[in-house]
Amino acid sequence: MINELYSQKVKKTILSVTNNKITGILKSDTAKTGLRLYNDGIIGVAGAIGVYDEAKLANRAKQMLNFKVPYNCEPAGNIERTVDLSDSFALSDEDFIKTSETLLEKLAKQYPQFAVNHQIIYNETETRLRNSNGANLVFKDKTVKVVLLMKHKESKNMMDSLGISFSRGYDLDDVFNTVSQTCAGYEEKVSLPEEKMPVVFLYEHDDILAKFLTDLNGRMMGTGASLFTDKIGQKLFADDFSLCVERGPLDYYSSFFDAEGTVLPGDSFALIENGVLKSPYSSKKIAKEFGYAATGSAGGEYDSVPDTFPTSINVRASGKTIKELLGGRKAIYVVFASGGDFTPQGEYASPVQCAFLFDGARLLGRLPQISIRSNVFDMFGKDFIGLSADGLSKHNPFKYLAMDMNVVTIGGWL
Amino acid sequence: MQYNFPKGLYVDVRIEHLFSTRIRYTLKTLDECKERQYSAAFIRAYDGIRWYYASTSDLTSVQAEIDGLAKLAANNVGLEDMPVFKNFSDKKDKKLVFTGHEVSNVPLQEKVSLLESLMPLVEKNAYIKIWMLNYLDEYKVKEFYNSKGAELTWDFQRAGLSTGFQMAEGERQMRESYQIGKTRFNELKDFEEGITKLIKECEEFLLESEAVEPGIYPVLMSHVPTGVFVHECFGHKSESDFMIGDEATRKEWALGKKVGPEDLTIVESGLVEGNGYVIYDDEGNAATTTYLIKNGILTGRLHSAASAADLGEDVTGNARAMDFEHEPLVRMTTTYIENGAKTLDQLISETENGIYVKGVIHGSGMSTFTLAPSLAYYIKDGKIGKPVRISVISGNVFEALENIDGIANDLTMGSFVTGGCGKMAQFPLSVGFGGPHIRVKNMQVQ
Repeated sequence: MINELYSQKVKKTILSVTNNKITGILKSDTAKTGLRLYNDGIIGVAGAIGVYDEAKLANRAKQMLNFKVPYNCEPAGNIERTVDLSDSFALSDEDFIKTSETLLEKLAKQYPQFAVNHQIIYNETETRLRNSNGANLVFKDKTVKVVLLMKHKESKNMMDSLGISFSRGYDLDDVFNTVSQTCAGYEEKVSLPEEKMPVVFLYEHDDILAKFLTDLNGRMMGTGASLFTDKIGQKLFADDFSLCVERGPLDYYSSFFDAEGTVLPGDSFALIENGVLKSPYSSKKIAKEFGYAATGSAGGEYDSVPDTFPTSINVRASGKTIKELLGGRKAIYVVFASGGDFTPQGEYASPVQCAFLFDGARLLGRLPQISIRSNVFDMFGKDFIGLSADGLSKHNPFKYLAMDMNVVTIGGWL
Repeated sequence: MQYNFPKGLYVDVRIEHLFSTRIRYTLKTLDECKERQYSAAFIRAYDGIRWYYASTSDLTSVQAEIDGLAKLAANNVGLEDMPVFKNFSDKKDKKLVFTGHEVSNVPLQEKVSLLESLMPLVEKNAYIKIWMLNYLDEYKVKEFYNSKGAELTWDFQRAGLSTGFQMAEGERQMRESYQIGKTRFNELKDFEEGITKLIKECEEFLLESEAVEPGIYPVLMSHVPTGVFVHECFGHKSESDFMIGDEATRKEWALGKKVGPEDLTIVESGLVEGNGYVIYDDEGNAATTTYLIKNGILTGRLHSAASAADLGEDVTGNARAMDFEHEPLVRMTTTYIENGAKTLDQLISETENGIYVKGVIHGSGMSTFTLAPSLAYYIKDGKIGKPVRISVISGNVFEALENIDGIANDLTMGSFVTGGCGKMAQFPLSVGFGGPHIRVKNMQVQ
């Protein structure tokens, strides 16, 4: 029998922001642990929050073996690696709060027409996987995430724009410039110039990649339920479109191992390479069941049996800036687009709640309410433009994802 | 429980004792089977300017957490004179309505066996390529203590079954789910009839559906889409914390304003047993029933202690937290549209060229309301027509209520166990919703 401990520790300070003021401070320090027992192709898991008695936890996991949950593959073994990025910068709680107060005051002073709300989060995380099969993996990280919802004071909306910064460090000027990007040009209203044009996304890439996240799941592919079933090896997308599981902690802010302890060679695995479908994403368990490669895609809660999850799936960057990718064309820069979806056949549509006209360097004015429409094969095929090498800030991981889409105006400026 | 609450601050302690079960079969293979159990606490301190929060899974450290928060906060001798202070609970009560029916007392094997007995319903359909069957339950006892002397204990429970499946035939794809959610294990019946009907309907949809001709249509919604519509399109606007210090939204959503047709009444209640059943909220205030809209007129909104004080209104028992790691926010409980006067047949026969939405994958609502349908049909010349694939239906939230032009008399509440409502970083929070069939004109369909 192999036993394994999988733990997630999160220490965080969250500042609640209401109308440019810090109105709440939450401090928490939580450890969640799952103890897994592997025996003759079955797994038993028991979990605990906080301090736990390992013998009691092991006993509970042993009882769960009676339910015979199959897990017919070898647990991680003979691998030791630690990546510790938690000392990449120093920031006391007091400095975190003080810098946040300064940021909010500066936003209020420079952009008095906006009320700023939501959260600023200082997060320290530690993920460990250790087992009796010789695996000992540790990943530690520390980040500051600023998510501010901008509400124009004359608007009847709950939010009108959005500013996000996510970085290892807390550089006041950089965060200010990043989160206030849309404030200056907000009052300038421009009309939609064309009905098919480049659309650029900085955040929420997962919404645009959603069809891959559902249908490239190894279980979906293996059972014939995916839009991409039987298409492995086929050239389905643009030459310059590659989609990868990226577990490089430095660039992708991701743990280098998944919930099964899989570590990818070079921390990367290509699912689609130069437009050719290479592989679904899979946990070890699903990979073995359907004969695929394990792609470092096991996830789940601390006390769950590891399952296949679409974590850390990214478009490979083009090496060009967004300005170079657009090549002089004007684009729609989507700040947020909520509520859209793909149909099972791959058709996509979404309303866009906040968007600007963009030339690759400057926001030229705010667009009225629009709707975007396409399908997965066009978006990442003939209409794919690329993922930029640059973003809003060199300290943030967000890059511009661009593709041509059909666009229509569906309302005025809110 | 006796805590030593510091002077000059408001402090409360919310303790939750949780038991939950998750079992999942995928294609006849058991791939999740777990019970979770913990006790943990969330502590709040308020000095009149800021809230200070801590959470802990070590109940012996609660007093230390209180003392730690008190050091961060400023002593405020005038706190008791602030309007918000009177909104904090001082009740003493114990209401354990699920005693004797706790899902924690049902053996795990019995829950596994229940799921196994349902497998034949989904496993034999030739078009279903992948299916999952889930059993979920949760029994939660909450204790609440504060510096005003409140001492409360109450419970919450839910249990349910869900299935999700994906059908495929050549290039044609179809995904759908079905679930029932109850408050007691022995109420988990009627799953078989519902799923059997749905699978048959999905087969037809898979084989015959066509992509929608994008455009503006009147949209007839069945009970669950109506529930999603009322929750997303209007419910979130009734959560009054977003109005704090915001004159523009207060003006837009002023009580007494006409926002919908005369036969539109929207109700919000924590007293409906189900997913949104909240005996006390997470500030210790009792659940209420609030008429948000009565006969088309805005008549009420949802409050926490702070939002009620800011707007000069009464608390409504809507301060809810997802779990012990989060602070309470103003959240919905169970939200529904009351019955209108028409029949479903009337609504269909009156519609010349529209869309009938029977099933929904998700919805959202900010400035734009959206609904992603799973099962939808054209309505042509007053009759239900061909099945149609739609990515998203959207409309302007400020116009959507006024665009309701038909309400049926067949109110049905949704029955859920998975999913929930998201707000700020808190997702999923269990909520209930439902309504009769309604028709909304001028919706963008793509």
